[in-house]
Amino acid sequence: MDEFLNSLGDFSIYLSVFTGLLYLIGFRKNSKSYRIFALYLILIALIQVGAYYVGRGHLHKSNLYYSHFYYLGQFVLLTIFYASLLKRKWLYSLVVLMLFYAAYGLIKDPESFYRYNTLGMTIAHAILVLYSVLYLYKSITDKGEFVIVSSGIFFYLLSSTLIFATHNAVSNLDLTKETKNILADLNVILYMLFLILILIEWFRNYNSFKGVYKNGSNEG
Amino acid sequence: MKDSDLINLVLIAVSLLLAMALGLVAFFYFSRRKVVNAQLENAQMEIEHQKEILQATILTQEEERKRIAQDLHDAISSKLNIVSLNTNVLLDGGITSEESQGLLETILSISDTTLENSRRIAHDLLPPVLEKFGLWAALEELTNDFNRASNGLINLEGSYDKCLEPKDELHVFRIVQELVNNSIRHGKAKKIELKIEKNPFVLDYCDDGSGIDLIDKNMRAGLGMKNIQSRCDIINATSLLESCPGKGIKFSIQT
Repeated sequence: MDEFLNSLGDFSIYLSVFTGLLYLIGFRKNSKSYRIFALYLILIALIQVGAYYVGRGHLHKSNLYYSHFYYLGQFVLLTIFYASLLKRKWLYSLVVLMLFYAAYGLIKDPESFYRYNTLGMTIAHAILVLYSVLYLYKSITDKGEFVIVSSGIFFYLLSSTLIFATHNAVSNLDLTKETKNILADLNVILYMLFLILILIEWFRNYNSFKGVYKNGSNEG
Repeated sequence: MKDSDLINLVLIAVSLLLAMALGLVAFFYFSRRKVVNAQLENAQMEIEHQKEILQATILTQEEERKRIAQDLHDAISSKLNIVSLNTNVLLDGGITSEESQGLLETILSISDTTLENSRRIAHDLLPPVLEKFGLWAALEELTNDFNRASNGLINLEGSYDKCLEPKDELHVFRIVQELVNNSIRHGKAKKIELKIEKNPFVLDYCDDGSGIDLIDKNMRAGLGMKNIQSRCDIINATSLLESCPGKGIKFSIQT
């Protein structure tokens, strides 16, 4: 079982890289939101590959500092993504506030760079969940792109926020490594589901290889 | 609390959050589907309405062509036939000068009648007074024409200050023409009240005819009424029709 979950963890990294590369197809011809989301996928794939290389691949060192790049990078790009979808430019101010908050924390306690920032990640995820709810609400009446992705962001970030938030508490518990890994494995499964939704979005709405033949005209 | 209990608690909380998230996504999905269906239904209804208006326009056009063809045949062609016959008799010769004088007088008389008829047909197609002097003058002329034939049939009241575009004035004039024709032909009305108000433009029309049964779809959506409705749509006016059998009709439009 553990082996299977480990393989699933590795597979999620390959899938993450594949999804990022897939979204590069049609990068130029699609909307601004598409391009930002593609950049987000590439960033996440790079962070995952980096964290894997440092933590499990060759170096076997602590890769916790990657979590800062993960939550801040994710927050910045997804805020720009939703600012474009929701057409609300004031959301950019939240990016500035979040970066200030992270910089202040690191200047105050430089050692915190090598620890996990539970509060920062929870706040960032909560705001991103809020964006996705607002966007899903908007898409009830308006024709909107990225509805499947938004559903994925909503369900994955909402569930994973709790897993990340309890990470520090759980890691200090006197438990076997296998028991501690249950939450990490659950996160991998949820992340896989999220990636699958992102892939469904691409194949359904952005697959430029799929032609639609309708009323005698071929719409590519 | 045992350490493993905390893991269980977190797992339960994550499961609950997941269930809540999926429930909310399902809610958004079904709401979206419902809204899309409602929008589709509205669009379908709009298309149906447009189709009805188009059909009414085509039918009206055909009716109008038939009427013009009939008018041309009855009032012009038949008269010109007589002129042609009489001219042939004159050209053939062999008739007395009194007879030829009589034929020439007949030709002149028929030519006058034909000329008058052609003027009437042209006038019916587009009253020159409407183009030259506007809606109010055209309505006054229409009222006078009907009142000459049937004293005090139409009473025109109110005032008008060219608050409509000339093309809209034509539509309003056609609506009044259609209403008056319906009142006389179908309603056998003896009295028609026509009132115009300006800024905003309001037209109130009522008669004392037999009225129509608005519950009867065939009567409510007859060609004449459809024609009036499509003209109201073209000038972006709201219309209201009130009527019941035996109590005449009340019709108003407002831009």
